[in-house]
Amino acid sequence: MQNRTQKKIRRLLAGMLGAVLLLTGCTQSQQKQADVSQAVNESGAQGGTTVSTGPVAKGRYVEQEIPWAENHGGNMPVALLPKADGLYLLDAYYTDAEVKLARADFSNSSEMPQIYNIDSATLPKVLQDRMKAEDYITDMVMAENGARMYTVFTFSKTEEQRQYFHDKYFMDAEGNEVPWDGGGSVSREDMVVYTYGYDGCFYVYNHKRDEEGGALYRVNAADGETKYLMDLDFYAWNINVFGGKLFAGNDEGLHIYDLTTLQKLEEDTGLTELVKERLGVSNGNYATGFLLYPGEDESVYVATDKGLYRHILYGNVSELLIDGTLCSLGDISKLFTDMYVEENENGMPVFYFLYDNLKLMRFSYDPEMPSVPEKTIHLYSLNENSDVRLAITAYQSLHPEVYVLYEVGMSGDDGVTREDALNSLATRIASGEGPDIFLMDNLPLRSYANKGVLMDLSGLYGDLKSEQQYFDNIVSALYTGEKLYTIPMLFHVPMLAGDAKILSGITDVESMVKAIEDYRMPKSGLRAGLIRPEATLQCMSYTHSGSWLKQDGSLDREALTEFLTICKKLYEADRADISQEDLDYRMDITEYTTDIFNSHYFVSRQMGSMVMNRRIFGDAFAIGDLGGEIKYEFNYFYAVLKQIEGTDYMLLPGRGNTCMPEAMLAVNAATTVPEEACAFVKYMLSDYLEDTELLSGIPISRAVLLDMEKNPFMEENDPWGAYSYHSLGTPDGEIFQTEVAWQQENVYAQYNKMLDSIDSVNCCEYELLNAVLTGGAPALTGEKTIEETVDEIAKKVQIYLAE
Amino acid sequence: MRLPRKSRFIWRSDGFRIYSSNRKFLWFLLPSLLGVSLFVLIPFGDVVRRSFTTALSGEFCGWDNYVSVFRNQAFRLAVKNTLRFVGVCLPILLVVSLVIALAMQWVPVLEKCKACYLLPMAMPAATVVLVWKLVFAKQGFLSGLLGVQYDFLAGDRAFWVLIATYVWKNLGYTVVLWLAALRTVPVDIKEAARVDGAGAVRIFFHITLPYLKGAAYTIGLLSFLNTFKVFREVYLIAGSYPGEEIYLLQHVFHNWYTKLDLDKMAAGAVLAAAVLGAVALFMGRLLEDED
Repeated sequence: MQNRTQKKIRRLLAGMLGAVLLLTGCTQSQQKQADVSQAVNESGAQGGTTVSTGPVAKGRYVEQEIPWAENHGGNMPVALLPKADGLYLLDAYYTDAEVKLARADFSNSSEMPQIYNIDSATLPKVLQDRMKAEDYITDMVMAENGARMYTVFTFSKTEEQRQYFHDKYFMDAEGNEVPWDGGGSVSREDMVVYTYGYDGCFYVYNHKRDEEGGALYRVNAADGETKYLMDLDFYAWNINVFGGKLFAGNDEGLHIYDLTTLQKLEEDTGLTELVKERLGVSNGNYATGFLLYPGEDESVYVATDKGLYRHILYGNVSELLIDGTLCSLGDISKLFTDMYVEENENGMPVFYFLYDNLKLMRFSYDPEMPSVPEKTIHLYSLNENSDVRLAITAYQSLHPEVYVLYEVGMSGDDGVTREDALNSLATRIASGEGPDIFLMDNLPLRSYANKGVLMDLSGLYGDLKSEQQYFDNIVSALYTGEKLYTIPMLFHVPMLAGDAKILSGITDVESMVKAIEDYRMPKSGLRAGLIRPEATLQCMSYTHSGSWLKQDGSLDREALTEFLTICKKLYEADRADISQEDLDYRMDITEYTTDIFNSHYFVSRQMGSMVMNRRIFGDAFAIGDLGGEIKYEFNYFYAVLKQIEGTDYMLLPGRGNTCMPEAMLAVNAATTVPEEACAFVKYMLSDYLEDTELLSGIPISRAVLLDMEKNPFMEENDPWGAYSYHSLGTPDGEIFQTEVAWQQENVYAQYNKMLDSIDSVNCCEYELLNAVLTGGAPALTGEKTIEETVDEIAKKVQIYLAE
Repeated sequence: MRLPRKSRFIWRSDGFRIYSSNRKFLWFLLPSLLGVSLFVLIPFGDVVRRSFTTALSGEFCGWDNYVSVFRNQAFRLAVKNTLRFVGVCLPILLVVSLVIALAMQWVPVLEKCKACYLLPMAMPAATVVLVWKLVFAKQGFLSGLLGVQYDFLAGDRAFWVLIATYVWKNLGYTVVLWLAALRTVPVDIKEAARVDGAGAVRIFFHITLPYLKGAAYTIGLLSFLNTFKVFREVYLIAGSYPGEEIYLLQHVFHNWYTKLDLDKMAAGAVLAAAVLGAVALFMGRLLEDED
C-alpha cells in the first residue's frame, strides 16, 4: 500500500518535471528566441507589452515618414503646431530669412499624407518684409492663434569690434510686430529661449550675457502682455512648460519648478535618468537631443535617442513605448525640433516628430505588427561606429520585422580591453553563438578567414555589382584567392598636396622624399607639416604597412628598415628650415592624438585641415588623408587647396596606390540567418548612403559617390556660389575664411581618376602596426639607430607572428 | 566505472543499493567522480577529440595539429620558459619553505602567527600586480632605492621578478604544509637519536627527512601545479605578449584561443596534460621506490 502511494508520488513528480521542461523549452532555437526577447526587453519592450516565447505577441508602434509634396527648400524647422486643418510646420531659414509655413494634410486617411508648402504671401507682412531685408531669424515659436515670438540676429562692426545683437519680437495674431525686451530688463545682447505652453502663453527664458543664470517671463499670446516670473540660478538650454510646471534643462540636470508657487520642486530622478545623456545635446537654439510632451494623468512623454517613454512624474517606472534602436529615433545624426501627440480613432496616441533635417515622422500603433521582431541579426564591432549605427537605424525603419542588435566589444564604459573583447568573441564563435555580421576593423581578419569563420562574399558582391557601380579596384584588392571575406563600407585615401610643378615630378616615394628634402623654405617653417615623429610614422604607414609581412607571414625586416629610413628622412626634412621658436609654437597650438588606437584605426589627419596649415603657416606640402561626404570634406579640402595658387594634390606615393578601408563588413559563415544578414550587408553597401551626411569615409559604392557629386543647388540662381563658410582664427587673432562651393564636373573627374588608380588596401595586422607606430619614433628622433629600432620591433612581434 | 561481478542491483523503495559490503566506498566516491567526470574528464575527452580535428569545421586531420604544435616556435619558447620557471622556482620554494618551517619549530613564537603567512594567498591578484608594478617599474620604488633606472619588469629581470612573485605568494601556504608534516615526525625517535649522540643535521637527514617524504610528494605536486597559476599575474602585468623571457605555456594557449586556433590549442593542451600526468606519476613512483 505504501509502495503504491510512493509510486504514485514519483509518477506525479516525474510528470510535473516533464511538464516544466516542456513548458520552459529546451531546444536551442527557443533559447535563442528567449535571448532575443530578453535583449529587446532590456532595451525596452514595444508598446509596453510583455514578450513571451510562446505565440508571438503582437502590437508595436511603426513609423512612417510624411513626405513633402514639393521641394521645400528650407533648412530650419523650428516648431510643429496643430490646427484644425492639419499639422503646421514652421520653417525659418537662417541665411536668407525665409520663413515658411507648411501643412501636413491628414484629411484623407486613405491616401498617404503629404506636406504642402503654404504660400509665403500668406505670412504676415512684417515677416515678408524681414525676408526681403534678409534678416537672420534664428528662432521662432507660434501659438494656436498665430501669435509668434522670434529672434532676429544682426551684427554691426564698430571700429573696435564686431557687435552681435539678438533682437526679440512679439507678433500678435494680426501680424503686428512689437519689440520685446521683457519690460526693459532684457538687452539686445541677451540670449533667450522660447517655448509655447499650450496655455495661451509663451514662456521666455532670458540668459544675460556674462552672467550666471537668468530670468523667466510669461508672455500672453493674445496681447503680448509680459509678466516676470522668477530668476533661475543656472543657464537653461531648453525649457518646457506644461501642467503648471517648468522643466528647464542644462548639462547639469533637469530642473522642475511649480509655476503657481514659483518654487523649485525636487528632482524627478526617473525623468532625469531618461534624459541625462541628452541634456547637453543641442544645436545652439532650436533643436535638442530630447523632447518632453504632456501626457494624461500627470504623465509626460519623453523622447530621446533611446526611444519614446511614458513617464509618470515622480514615478519610479517609465514605460518604453517606442524602442529607439528599431526606428529613426535612434539616429543620433538628427536632433529633435518638436513633437506633437494626438489620439487616433481607437484612442491610441499617435506621435509626430519633427527633425532638424525637416523630416516629419509619424509613429502609429499597429496591432498586427509583432511586438518583438521575429528575427534578429547580431552585428558586432570592436569599437563604436557611428556610420553603422546610422545604417542600422535606417534599416530598422524600413524593416520592422527584423531586429538588428548592434554589439560593441569595447564600449569604453566598462574597462573591457581589446583582449577581453576578443576572448569573449572567440568563446561565442567557438560555441556557435557568434554574431551574424562582423565589422572587421581591428579584428583579426586573416585569422578568422583562415579558420573558416567568415562567409565568402564574392557571390554577394557579384550581385551588388550587377545592380550598381562599386570601386572594384578597391574591393578586388581584398580578395584572398577566389574568395572575398570582407567588403568595406567606406574608405579613406592618403594624399599629398603641394606645388603643382613639384608634384608633377613625383612618381614614387623616393622622388617624394627627395622633393621634400630639396625644397627650401623661403622663411622659417615646416616643409610637410608632420611636426611629430608619430605623425610621420602614421602617415607613411598608410602606404607601407602592407609590405611589412612576407608571404609566409614572417616579418620583412628589409621593408621595415626601408620604411623607417623613409620616415626618418621625411621627419628630418620636415623640420630642416624651422627655428626652434617656431617649432615650439607649432607644437603648442597643434593637438595631436597620441593614443592612436583610442577610437579609430588611425588618427584623422584630414586633408582639409592639413592644407589649411599650408595656408596659415606656409607649409610646403600637406600629407594626410581624405574621406567623408563630398559636401563637407572634399569640397572644403578643394576650396582650401585653391586658395593657394598653383597647388595640386595626388595620392600619397608608397608601395602601391593604397587606401584605408573602414567599416569592413563580414558575415559569419555559421550564421543562422544568412539571408537576413546578407540582405543587411547589401543595404549597407547600397545607395542608402546617398542621404547620409555624416559619413566618416568615402563610400565604396561609386554610384553613391557619383550621386553625391551632383550639385543640389543647380536649380538655385547661383549654382556655383558658396554654400558654406568656414572661419579659422589663430591665436594671433588672424582670421582665415574659406568659402566652400560646389565644384565643376572636371574637379570631381580628377578626384575619381585618383580613386580609380588605387590598387591596394592597407590591412595591416593590429599588433604589428601597433608595435611599429608606438616603437618607431626613437629611430626618427635619433635616440636609437634604425637597426636597433627594427630589432626591438621584431622582438615585440616575433612571438605574435610565431604563434 | 566497472562494478564488481558479484555486485547486483536491487530496486527498493528507498532507491538503488549495491549488495557488496567491500564496495561501499564507491558510493562515497560517486559524487566526486560524477563531478570530475562532468567537468573535467568528459570535457578533456572532447579536447582530445578536437586535437585530431580542424578548428571550427571539425574535420578529422590526424596528427596535423600535433605536428603543427611541435613546429610552432612560440610553443617551443613557451615550453622552454615554463620548464625553466618550474626548474628554478620549485626547488627554491620547497627548500626555503622547509627551512622556515624548521625555524618556526625552533622558535615557537613564529608558529603562533602562521595564519599571517597565508595572507599573500588571500590577496587579490590585481592588488598584487599593482604593488609589484609600483615596486619594479622603471620609475618604481626599487629603482629609486637603488638609485638606478632599471625596468625590472622587462628583459630577463622580469623572469626573476616572476620567480619572486611565485615564491612570495606560495611560501606561507607551503610553510604551513611543512609544519603539519613536521608534526608527524615521532619525537621519541628524535630523542633517542639525540641520546645516541646524533647532531641536529644528522637527525634532520636521517630521521626527519625520511618521515617527510610522503608530505614532500603532496607539497611538491601542489607547488608544481601552482606554477601554472602564475599566468594571471604575468598577464595582468604584461598582457598577452610579454617579454619573451616570461612567455609561458598559458600565454600561447590564451593567444591561440583568442585567434581561434582551437585545434592547436587542443593538441597543446593534450600534450601539457600528458606531461603533467607523467610528472605526477614519476614523482609518485619515485616515492614508492624509495620506500
